[in-house]
Amino acid sequence: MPEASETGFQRSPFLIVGLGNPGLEYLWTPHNAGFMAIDRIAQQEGVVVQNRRCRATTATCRIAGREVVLAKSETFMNLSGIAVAALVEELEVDPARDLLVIYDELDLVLGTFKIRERGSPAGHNGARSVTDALATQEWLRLRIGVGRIYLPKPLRQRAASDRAEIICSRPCARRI
Amino acid sequence: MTVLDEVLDKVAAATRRILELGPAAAMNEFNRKDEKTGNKD
Repeated sequence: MPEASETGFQRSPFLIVGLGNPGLEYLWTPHNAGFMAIDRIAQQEGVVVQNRRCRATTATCRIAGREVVLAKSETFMNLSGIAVAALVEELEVDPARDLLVIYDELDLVLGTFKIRERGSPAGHNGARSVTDALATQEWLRLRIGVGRIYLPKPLRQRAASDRAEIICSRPCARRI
Repeated sequence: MTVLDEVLDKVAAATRRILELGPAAAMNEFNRKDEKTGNKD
């Protein structure tokens, strides 16, 4: 439910959704970078994403004075829009202003990310599902690069084996 | 620290910046930093 602001108007929470696939077999795969990001934000805010609503697991916290709902979709990636649209409706969120979706991007270099306010799904099944469900491309997204590694030329030959090792290690294990 | 582990901290920082200052400010701050990597967009 929207919260009351200082001016008396009801203000919707800010919704941050990470995309990924549910299940242990997908837990540490690059395609679940969106889930990992949500877990990292939750960890830093001292909350656990475990409440079930709208086909997602969620947690509520406050960042920069704003009520924030963190969510990980419980649908598979290609149906992510179902969870996102349900959350948008229940929380009465404006997708163009109060929604951030975080997901992986093969076209971005590993170790980088990009923020964009709109755009086409560019072949990402989760982004396509969100766009279809919201019937708009006007939603803020943060894409985490899981593509090729950028290395100085002498090191590029090692990239393939290094990439597998880096991605498959358990990035959050030391903090759990 | 793995590459992905490091970027998750930056993603969390960028998310905080979006909430503090808005998407435009966050894009100005974070989208520019990796120009050297050759990302096209």
